[in-house]
Amino acid sequence: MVTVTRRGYIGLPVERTDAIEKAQGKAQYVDDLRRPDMWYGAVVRSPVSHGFIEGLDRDPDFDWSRVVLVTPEDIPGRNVVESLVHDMPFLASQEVRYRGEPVALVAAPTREAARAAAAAVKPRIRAAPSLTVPDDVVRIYKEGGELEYLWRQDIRKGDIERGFREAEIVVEREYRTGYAEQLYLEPQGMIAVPQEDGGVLIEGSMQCPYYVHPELCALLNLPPEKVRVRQTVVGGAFGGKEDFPSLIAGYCALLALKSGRAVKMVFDREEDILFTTKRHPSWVRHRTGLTRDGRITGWQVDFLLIGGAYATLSPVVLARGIIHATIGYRCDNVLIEGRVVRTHMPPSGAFRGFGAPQAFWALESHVDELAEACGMRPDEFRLRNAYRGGDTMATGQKVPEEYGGPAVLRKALEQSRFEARFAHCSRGSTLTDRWYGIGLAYFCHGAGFTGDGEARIKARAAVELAGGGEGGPLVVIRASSTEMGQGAQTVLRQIVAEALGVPIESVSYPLPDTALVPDSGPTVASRTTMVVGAVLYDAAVAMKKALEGFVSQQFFDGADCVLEEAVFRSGSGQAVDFERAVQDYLRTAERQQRFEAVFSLPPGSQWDQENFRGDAYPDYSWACYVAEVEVERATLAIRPIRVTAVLDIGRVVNPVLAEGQVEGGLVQGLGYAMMEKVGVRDGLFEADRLQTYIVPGVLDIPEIRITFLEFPYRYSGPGAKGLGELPLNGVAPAIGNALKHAVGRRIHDLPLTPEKLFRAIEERLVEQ
Amino acid sequence: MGVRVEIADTLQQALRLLAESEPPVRLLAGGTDLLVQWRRDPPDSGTVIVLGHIPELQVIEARPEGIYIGSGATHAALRDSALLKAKVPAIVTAASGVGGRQIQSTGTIGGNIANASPAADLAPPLLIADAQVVLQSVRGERKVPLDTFYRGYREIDLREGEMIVGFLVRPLEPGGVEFFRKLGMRSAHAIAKVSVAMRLVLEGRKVCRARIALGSLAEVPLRAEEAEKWLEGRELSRETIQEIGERVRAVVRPIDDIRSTARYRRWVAGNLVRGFVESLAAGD
Repeated sequence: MVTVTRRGYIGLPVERTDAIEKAQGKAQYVDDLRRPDMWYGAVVRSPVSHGFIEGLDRDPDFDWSRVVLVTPEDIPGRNVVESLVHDMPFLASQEVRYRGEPVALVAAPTREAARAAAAAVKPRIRAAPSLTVPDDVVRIYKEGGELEYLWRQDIRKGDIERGFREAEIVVEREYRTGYAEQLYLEPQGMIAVPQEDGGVLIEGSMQCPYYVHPELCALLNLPPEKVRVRQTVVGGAFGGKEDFPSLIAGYCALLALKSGRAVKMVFDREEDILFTTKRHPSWVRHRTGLTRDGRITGWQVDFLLIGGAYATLSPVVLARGIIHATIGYRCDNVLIEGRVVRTHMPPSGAFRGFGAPQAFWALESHVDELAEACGMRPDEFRLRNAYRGGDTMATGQKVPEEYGGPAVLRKALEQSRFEARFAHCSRGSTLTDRWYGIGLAYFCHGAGFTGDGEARIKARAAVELAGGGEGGPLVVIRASSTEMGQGAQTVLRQIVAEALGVPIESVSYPLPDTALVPDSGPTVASRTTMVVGAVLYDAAVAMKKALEGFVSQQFFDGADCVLEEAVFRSGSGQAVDFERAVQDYLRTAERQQRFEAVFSLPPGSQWDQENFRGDAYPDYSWACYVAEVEVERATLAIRPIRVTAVLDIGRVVNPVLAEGQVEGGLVQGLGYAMMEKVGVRDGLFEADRLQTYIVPGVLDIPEIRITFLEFPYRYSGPGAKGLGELPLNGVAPAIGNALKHAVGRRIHDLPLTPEKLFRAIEERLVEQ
Repeated sequence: MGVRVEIADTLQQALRLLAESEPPVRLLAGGTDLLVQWRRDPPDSGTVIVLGHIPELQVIEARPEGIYIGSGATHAALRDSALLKAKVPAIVTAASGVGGRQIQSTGTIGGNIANASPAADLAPPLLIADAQVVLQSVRGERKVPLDTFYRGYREIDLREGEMIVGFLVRPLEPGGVEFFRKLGMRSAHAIAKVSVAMRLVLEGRKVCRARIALGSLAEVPLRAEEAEKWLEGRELSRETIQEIGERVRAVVRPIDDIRSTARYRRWVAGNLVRGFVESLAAGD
């Protein structure tokens, strides 16, 4: 069910801009593109998890005549990825810190030749001890052993000692999650084309052209104008193409500049799974003090993420993780201690949710355990403890008087008939062969960048007038936000069309090219519709005002007019068509063609980055999932039968696309909850292909009921909040809680498999 | 160097090519296993003989000595065969659960067995139907019972120059019922982490004949012969139901791997067998 308010294009299920070309197979992905005289690149990787490079041997029997080899010495600029913490080299030059870490690059005329050449380069490495298995990290941590931390951050509120002094019950539990792969349909790929001026053009699959751009300037020692980055059609990303594309773009560029040819590199599925980023594995310990009547007095959380070899995005993943670690529930005394551990595995990175799914697996499992500890139903406990207007979160951020949380919670409970169904849970009864359980998760997602992120980025975006003609656009969106399958191209056009008062067909949104678009910030953090949408709305309003002023002078003798439905109308009924007005307007070259705007945080926003105090996000999207599962007693096969989803994402811009995002996130979350697991063996991810990395298929999807409740973002024209990540965040705990009430036993680590359930209840089953 | 690809139109031609072509010779039926392997590790010499166009290999028919299923019969053909549904229903159930529709349309029963996986979906239903593997070479024909055809992990009794041309299976006897169940890591497109096939022939409440076969529970698809013998001649009593699961658990040799655990596999195999016996007892 979708009930959204409609205001012109906002709230209208406009057909996706990119639907037809993708459905017809016409979209050109990077692997479809050829450039004249193009060679193929391949990566020479470390064969060990940790060690010191003593040299690179080239197989003397290999024909090296048509191969270009790049080693760290060939790097003209800085051999370091600049994002956040400067600790990761493009190519390891002394120490290798994970198995598969790039140590050199080759290019050759064909993909096969490039791979053969890469295999013929043998790094000589003196191996050193390594730490690769997440379970080992957790064991060492719990034993108080020595670990290296890539990042630490704490959040403190009130007096934690006092919180536990006031407690009548203390509940302490540990929750774990493992690695997960984004598994975008289109693997990572780039082409670098050397330019006559000594610069380079990068084309490829990416979320953030303006992440790639500065990295390449630094790597290649080139001024900004000599590096141009152009997004090609992207076949899914989910965070996996947030920071990693900078590396592969760098590799192609180094090879292209050394060989003087275009160089393409597209990973195959195995290489992509083995050597690109995964979701951080986590271990979270909650220790919570309660009164007997179910009030939370003190809350202490130990939040550990496994970061891999380099920090990359870990500090911000941790930030989001700890901010969401206790979110939603009132408590005066909170201590959250966050850490990212360094290991000898590929860097963990961004994946839809960005620390929040780990936080909510722990939090929402734990809250069910808290309810049980004080003899309350899970819904009762949540309603009793949910933030009320004026409360403060762990960071001290004030909860607005009216917000979506309690509303989505109540609506989901009512729609799913939670209370009645909860009474019918099987709880491992021996009287039935099919156990039934219902469970809920109440969760949110901070929309936009964490803390002062948006203040630092100052997202810019523009709308530009174009000549139209031949059915061409009259208005062009200039923003660096990328379409990756989520619908950005469609909803941003809707927002601009709505702000201007023109048909959506007049507005085009080409794929970003750093030569043409301002930096709107990266396409991450559920920020595009909310933040870039807000900026474009303002830019379009400025354009509308300028055009109305022009038309008023030019056509209506100074009488005021309004642009609506592509027509300028004066008070006295005169009318001028939008296209004609634009063409007239553009006849004089000095008139302003481009209207740009900048994002600003809500007035009065404050953030203390050192102590993590203040307004962590401009706003929050809220949701409640109620999951129902069935477990077959003979096999412990777990089948989710229904998910009731109620979400507040602010104003819904496109209800069909929004529902698609919820369904997609739910199913992706279902895989995280029930199937996806990546073990580590000999320093490599064990499940390295689709045969072993199992994601849900269409038959695994339960009935999904979606309702949106709109609590708009108050500081933008469109009123949208974040959507992209929210739907994944709460799936696992909703399923986990339902499973607990079905079988009578809780599983504390993901994924929830029959094998794990069997281990947990084996004794009881054998007795039966 | 290079690979020669030969497309055979008749069985005789295929056998001749198999005898005379540049080794190593590989037989390609539906390609659902080989093409995946070759993507990682493509052949660089020898011959590939394509079998998909040979009508004799696609026959499914009743013969005096049993039901004959050509090795080139696709899973889709098995799934849609009225004859098999009536006479060896577990094969139909198993074929409907192989991969997805696309794989069912191209993968074959011969390939499923020749790939020699302990998880082969068709192996347990063939085993409970006392399947004989019909093998041919230019030298002649040989028949081998499927349970001795498997010799070890990924090892089958296929000799140089021989190919699997079909299977002879015993049709369901009067009073016979079959069962097949596969558990995977998801509902479809899954490799079996456990599979169980059973055929029981009943007289009243007495089991006259029992066949129990198990997939992914040992290094080869396995017949639980001791459990079968124990069951034969017994009444479908409460005690029988209690005991049969344990008897099956005693003969399996499961392992821990990326898909499941040995303990779970052993437990669930017993439950599935017991559950089927229990359902027969209850339905009486």
